[in-house]
Amino acid sequence: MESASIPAAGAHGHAEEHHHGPPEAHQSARIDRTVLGILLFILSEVMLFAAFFAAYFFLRVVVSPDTWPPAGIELPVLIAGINTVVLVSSSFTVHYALEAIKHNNHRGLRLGLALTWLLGATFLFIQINEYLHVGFSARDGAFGTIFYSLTGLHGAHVFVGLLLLTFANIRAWRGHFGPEQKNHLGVEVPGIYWHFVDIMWIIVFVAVYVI
Amino acid sequence: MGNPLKSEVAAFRWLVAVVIGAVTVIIVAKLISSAAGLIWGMILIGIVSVYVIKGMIYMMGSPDDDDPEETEPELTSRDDRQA
Repeated sequence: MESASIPAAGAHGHAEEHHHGPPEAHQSARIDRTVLGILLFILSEVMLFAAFFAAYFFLRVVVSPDTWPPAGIELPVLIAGINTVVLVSSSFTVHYALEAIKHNNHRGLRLGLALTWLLGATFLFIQINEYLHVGFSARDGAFGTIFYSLTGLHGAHVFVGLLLLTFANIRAWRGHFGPEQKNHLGVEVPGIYWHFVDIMWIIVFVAVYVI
Repeated sequence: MGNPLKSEVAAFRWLVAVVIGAVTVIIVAKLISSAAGLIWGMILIGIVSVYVIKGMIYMMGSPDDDDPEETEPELTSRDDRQA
């Protein structure tokens, strides 16, 4: 046993003293391996949203260009606008949280993450309330179907984002994060996802409620 | 501004840019027509898509191809040199 361990230690040299486990993998791309996963995930999500937007604009531009939205349907633009402000604000708070931990400010991290979670939950609450009072259902024609599909798809993403933020909040309160980049990936990756969700909502809001 | 998927800071910058772009789309839609707003929005999405795809191609490239003097692996700085 002893004779087998000595050559191994000699072969790895000083790296063995600091690095335990298998050797570091060769990095064949400029992108960090830890960011590649969320990048591929978000790209797949972009394609999913693109399919829903294609269906929306097909219905709106090709199928019924003159009657969109159908007569008698009034979307709550003001409420949705307020909801947009709420969600965009949450991106600023998660950005604040990440900047705080980069400066070793754990209190700022906890505050930023908690505010982000609360703003996200507020958005979801207002959206569910909107569904209850909007006056039509997903079965009321193509408009109802695509409206609930598109906004519901986004709402599901907000829900997933809230789950990620819940874990980030718990870990922040337990002091798991630090100022070095490798020590706050648990905030950075949900942050990227959260910004993506916000960007998608802005596009949904402009497409469905405004233009 | 770089690739929006590179880091949280890059994604946040792009979020701010998207908010500004959305405001311009809303203004065009209200001042001219919904169709004009839609066309302007599609143009903006096209510009962003080109930016993101170029950034992705760059990020998937090998770090061995980097210029040793290159300190800022941003899409914009590389494009400037190529131009």
